[in-house]
Amino acid sequence: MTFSFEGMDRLFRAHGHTLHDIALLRGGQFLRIPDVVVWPECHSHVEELVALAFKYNVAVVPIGGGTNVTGAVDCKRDEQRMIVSLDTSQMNQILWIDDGNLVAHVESGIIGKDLEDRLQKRGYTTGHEPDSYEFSSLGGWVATRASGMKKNRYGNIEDLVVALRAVTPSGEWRSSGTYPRVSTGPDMNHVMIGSEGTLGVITEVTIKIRPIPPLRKYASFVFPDFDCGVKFMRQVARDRCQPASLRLMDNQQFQFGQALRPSKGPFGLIVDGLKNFYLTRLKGLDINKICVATIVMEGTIKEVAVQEEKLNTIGLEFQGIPAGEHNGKRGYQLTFAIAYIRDIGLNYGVVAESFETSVPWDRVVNVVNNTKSRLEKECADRKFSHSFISARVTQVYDAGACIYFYFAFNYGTMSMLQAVEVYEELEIIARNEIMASGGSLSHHHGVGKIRKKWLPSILTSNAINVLHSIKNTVDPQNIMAAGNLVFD
Amino acid sequence: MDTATLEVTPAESSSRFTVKNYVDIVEKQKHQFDAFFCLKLWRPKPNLHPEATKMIIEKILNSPQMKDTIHQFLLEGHSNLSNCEDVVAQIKTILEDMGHTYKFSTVRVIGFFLAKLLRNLYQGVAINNDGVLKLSKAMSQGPVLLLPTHRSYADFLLISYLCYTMDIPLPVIAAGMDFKGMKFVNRMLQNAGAFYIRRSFGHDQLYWAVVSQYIQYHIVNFQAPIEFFLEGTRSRNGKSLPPKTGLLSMALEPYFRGDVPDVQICTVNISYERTLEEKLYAYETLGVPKPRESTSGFLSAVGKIRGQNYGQIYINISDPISVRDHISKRTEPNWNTPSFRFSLSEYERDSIHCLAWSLIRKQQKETITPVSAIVMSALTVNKQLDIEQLVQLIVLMNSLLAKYGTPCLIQNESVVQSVKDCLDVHKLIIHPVADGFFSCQTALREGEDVQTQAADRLVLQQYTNQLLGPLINVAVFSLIEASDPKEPNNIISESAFFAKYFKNEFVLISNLTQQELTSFQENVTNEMLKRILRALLQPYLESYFIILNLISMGFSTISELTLQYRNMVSTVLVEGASKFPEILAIDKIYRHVLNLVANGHLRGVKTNQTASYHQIDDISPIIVRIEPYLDERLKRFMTLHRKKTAVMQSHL
Repeated sequence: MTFSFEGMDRLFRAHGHTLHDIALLRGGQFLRIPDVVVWPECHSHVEELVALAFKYNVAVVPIGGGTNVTGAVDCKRDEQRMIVSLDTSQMNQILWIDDGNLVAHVESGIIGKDLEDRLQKRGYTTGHEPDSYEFSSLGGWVATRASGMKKNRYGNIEDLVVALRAVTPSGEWRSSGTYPRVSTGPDMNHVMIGSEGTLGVITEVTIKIRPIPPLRKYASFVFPDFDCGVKFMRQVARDRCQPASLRLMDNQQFQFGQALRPSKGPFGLIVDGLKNFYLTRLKGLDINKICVATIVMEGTIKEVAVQEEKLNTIGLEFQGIPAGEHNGKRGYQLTFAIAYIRDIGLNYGVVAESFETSVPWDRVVNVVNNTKSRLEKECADRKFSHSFISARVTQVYDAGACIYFYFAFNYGTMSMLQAVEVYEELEIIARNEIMASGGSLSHHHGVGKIRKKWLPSILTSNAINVLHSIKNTVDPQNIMAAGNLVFD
Repeated sequence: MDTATLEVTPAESSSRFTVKNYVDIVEKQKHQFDAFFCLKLWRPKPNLHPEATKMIIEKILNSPQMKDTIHQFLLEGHSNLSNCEDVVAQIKTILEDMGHTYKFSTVRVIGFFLAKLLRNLYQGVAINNDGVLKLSKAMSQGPVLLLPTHRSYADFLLISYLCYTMDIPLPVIAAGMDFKGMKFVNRMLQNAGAFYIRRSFGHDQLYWAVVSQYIQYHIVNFQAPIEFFLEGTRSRNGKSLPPKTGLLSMALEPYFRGDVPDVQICTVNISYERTLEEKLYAYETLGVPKPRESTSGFLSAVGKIRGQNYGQIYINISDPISVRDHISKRTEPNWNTPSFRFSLSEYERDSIHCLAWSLIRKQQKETITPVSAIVMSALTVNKQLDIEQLVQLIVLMNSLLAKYGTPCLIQNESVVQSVKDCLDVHKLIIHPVADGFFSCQTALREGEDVQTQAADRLVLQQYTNQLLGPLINVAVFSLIEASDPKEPNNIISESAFFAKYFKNEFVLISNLTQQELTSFQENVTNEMLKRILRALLQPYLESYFIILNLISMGFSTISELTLQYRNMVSTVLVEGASKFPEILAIDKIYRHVLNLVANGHLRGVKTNQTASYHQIDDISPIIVRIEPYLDERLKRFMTLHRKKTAVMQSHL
C-alpha cells in the first residue's frame, strides 16, 4: 500500500472547496492537517487499514475527489490521535458491467469524468452529473447524498445506487444483493448514503447505467418575470413532463450571463440589438425583470420532439418566449464556469459563494424574495460598495424545487480572511432566513461541519439518538473521526 | 419620489412653522381653488388599482388559506351552513359588506370637501416634511403599516388628506362597523379606501378568518399602506391607551409566515390644539352613552362646528421601523404544518405584544405637545395668570419637554402669538378676568350639578393629560420628592410602585433608573413646574384610592363598582373632600381592575355573562402605600365612611 508523509500530500487532503478553504490556501494557515496519507487499492486494503486503525486507535478521514463545500474533510483542531487521510483515488476500476440488468459494479474512488468516459466507450452513461463531476468521486457522491443536473431523467444518487459495500471499524457493511427493490425493513443502504465519512469507508458501489441517448437538445425560454418562470416550472412538474434538466435563472443571473459572453463583431452586435428590440419593444418585456429557463432534453428523436412540444405549450401559457438552443447551452455551461469565477474573483477583491436549499412549491418565490431582501439589507448595513445576489431554480420535484443562491460582494479594504469571515456570518443569516421562510438546511451539499449547528433544531432527539446508536455499534471508538453530522 | 410634486417647502410657506422642517399643508390651500386641488395630478407609487380591487374577493376565495378554512368549517359542522356553496356565499357577503371599493373619483370629491372643511375649521396643519419623505421611501420598498394616534374622528380623514396632498398612496383604513350605520357616508368612505370590521369578533371563527385574510391580502399584494389604530378606539382623555394587538398580529402574520421579507411600521402622531369632540368625550367618560353614528348626526355636527376656530393640528410622522429589525422569525421549520395553516408561536405573540407597547410609547413620546396643554395645565393649578406668566411657563415647560417628550412647535419669538391664539381658540373655557389675567376655573355657580362641573373639568383634563402623558415620570418623581424628601433608593422603589399600578393608565410610566433620577434631579428644578405636574397627577391618585377602597369593601362586579363609585364620589365632592370634580369619570375603573388582575390581586370569575372579580391577594397594602400622597380630607372622609358602613353592616 502506498503512503506518504510529504507535506504537500497532507496539505492537499486537509481541505475541501469552501471559500474558507480557498482563502486559507492563499493567505492563511491550516491549524491541523492529516499526519499521513494512505492510498489503498481495493476493498481488502481498506479492511486491513481500518482494522489497524481500530487496533492502534488512529483517526481515519476518508477522502475522494476532495470537492466538498461543507468542510467535511477538514481536520478537527483538537484531535489528539494520529490522523490518517484515506485517499480512495487508487480504487478506480469498473469491476464489471451487467448489460442485461443495466448495472455496473464500480470501485468508489473513481472520478466522475473517468467513470463517464469509460462507460460511454461501452455505450452507457450513469446520467449523474453534479457540477463537480470532473473532479468528484463516486464514493463521495454516495457519502454526501449528491444530486446531478439531469436527475429528472436518471435520478439522484440514492435512486442510482442499487447496492454498496463499505468498511466500518467493526466490520463490513454491505447490501444483501443487487435486487431492484426489497421490503426487508428500513433500507440499510441509507445508513451509508449521506453518512459523510463518519461511519465507514464506502469501497464499492453497484450503480444503474443507461444506454447513451441518441439525441441531446438544448432549449430556453424567456419569461417576463421570476414569478411567471416559477409558475412555468410548477406546471411542468405538475404535468410530470420535466426534461433531463430544467433550470430557471433569475434576472440578476441572466444579466451576469450576458456580461460573460465573448465579445462579438459588429454583425453580432446588430443581431443582439435586433433581439433586444424584439424582446423589449415588441414583446413589452422589461430587461431588468426577465428571467430565463434553460432546458436540456435527452432521448430518442421522437421522445425529444414530444417533450419539446409539451414544454412549448406550457411555456406559452405562462407568457414565455422561446429563446433558442444557444442560450440553453450557454446556461448549462455557465454552471461549470461559476466555480472557477469564484476563485478568480477572490484575487480581485470579490468574495463570492453559492449555497442551496430545497423548498415546497408554494414557498419558492417567498424564499427567493426574502433571502435576497435580507442579504441586500445586510449588505447595505455593512456599506459594501457592490453586492450581487442571484437565485436559480435548479431542480424540480413533485412537491417542490431546489434553489441555488449566488452571493458576491466587494470586500474593499478588508483582508481576504476577514472578508471570508464576514461572508460566513452572512451565509448563516441567509440560511436562517431560508429556513424561517420554509426552505431546508441543504438539498445536496450536505451538512459537513459548517451546517452542524442547525441539526439539533431540525432533527428530533429520537433521530439524533438513533444516529448515535448506529455510530456506537459500527464505530464505538470513533475511528471514523471526520466529525460531520451530529458526531464529534 | 418626484420632488417637483412636493411644492410645499418651508421657504415658501408663510406659516410660523419654520422650525425643524415643518410645513403647513393647509396654508397653500388658502390661496388656491379647491377645484384645482381636487383635480391635481396625483400619481403615487405604488397605488391601489381600482381594477385589482374588484378581484380581491375572488382572489381571497381561491387562496389556499381560505379553502382550508372553508373545509375546516364544514368539518366542524356548524348549524345552518352545511355545504360548501353556503359557506362561500356567507364569506362573499362578509367580504362585500366589509371591503373597500376604492375609486379614484370619490377620493377627489372627498378631497374637495375636506379641503374646504379644513380651511374653515383650522388655522393650519403642520407636518414634518422629512417624515413624509421617509414614509414615501418606505412605501417604495414593501408593505407599510400606518399607525396613527386616535384622538378624533378627524384623524383618518387627515391622514388620507395628507397622503393625497403629498403624493403618497392613500391608505386602506380599518374602520369600526359603527360607521356602516351612516347611510351614503359609509359608501363614500368605502370608496375612499375604508373597510369595516366589527369591534369584537367573539368566537366567530369564520369572520375572524375572513378579516385576517382580507388584511393579509393587502400586505402580501402590497399596493397601499394599511392604516389602523393601535389603541383600538379614540382616546377620550388625551393620553395614549394600552394597545390592542389583534389587528397588528393579523397584519404581521405574513412576515412571520415568510410571505414578505419585511413589514415597515410608521406611527403618525397627531395632536390638536382643540379637539372636535371635547365635550362629547367629557360626557362619555362620565358614563353618558355615545351617540350612534348616523348621517344626520354627522351633518348636524358638521353644521355645529362650522365657523368655529379649532386652531392648529400638528402631525409628526415618526421614522418607519422595520419589523425585521425588531423580531426575528423562528428558524426551526414547522415540519407538519403547511403554510396555509400557519399560527403564531408563543414567542411571536409575546414579541408582537412588546412591539405594540413600544409603538404606543413611541406615539405618546413623539406626539407634539399642543400649546393648549401647557396653558390649561398652568391655569388648572393657578387661579389666574396673565399672558406674560403663561409665556414664561411655556418656555420653561418646553425645555423640559424637549428632554423627556416632544415640545410645542413654537419658536421663541412667536410664543406670545401662540399663547394668544390658544386663548382665542379656547375662549369657551378660558376667559379673561380683570387686568389682563386669564382663568379657566369657574366659581361654582348655584344650582349647577356636580356632573356639569365634572364635565367642564374633564374637558380641561383632555388637554392637561397631553402634558402629563409624556412627562408622567417627571410628575411621579416630583410627587415622591415632595411628599417626603427621601433617599434616592427610596424614590426609585417608590417609582416602581407607581409604575406597577398605573401601567395601564400612563403608557410611558416606568421604574426610574438611577440615571433618570440624576437627570431629573438636575433638570427638574423649577418649583412651579413640579407643582403643576404633581397637581395633574393628584386626581388619578384619588380615583385609584376610592376604587381600591370600594374593592376592599367587597364590591366585585364592574357594574356594582361603577354605581358605588359614582355615589361615593358625588358625596365626596358635595362634602368638599376633594378639589377635583373630574374624578367623577368612570373610565378608570375597568382599567384599574384589569391591572389588579394582571398584578395578581384579583381574579376574574365569569358567571352568567357577568364577570366578577375577587380578591386573592390583600389589596390593603396598596391603600396604605398610596395614602401618604393624598389629601387629608379625602383620607378622613374615607375612614369615616368605612366606619359607617361597618356599623351599618354590624346592625344588619
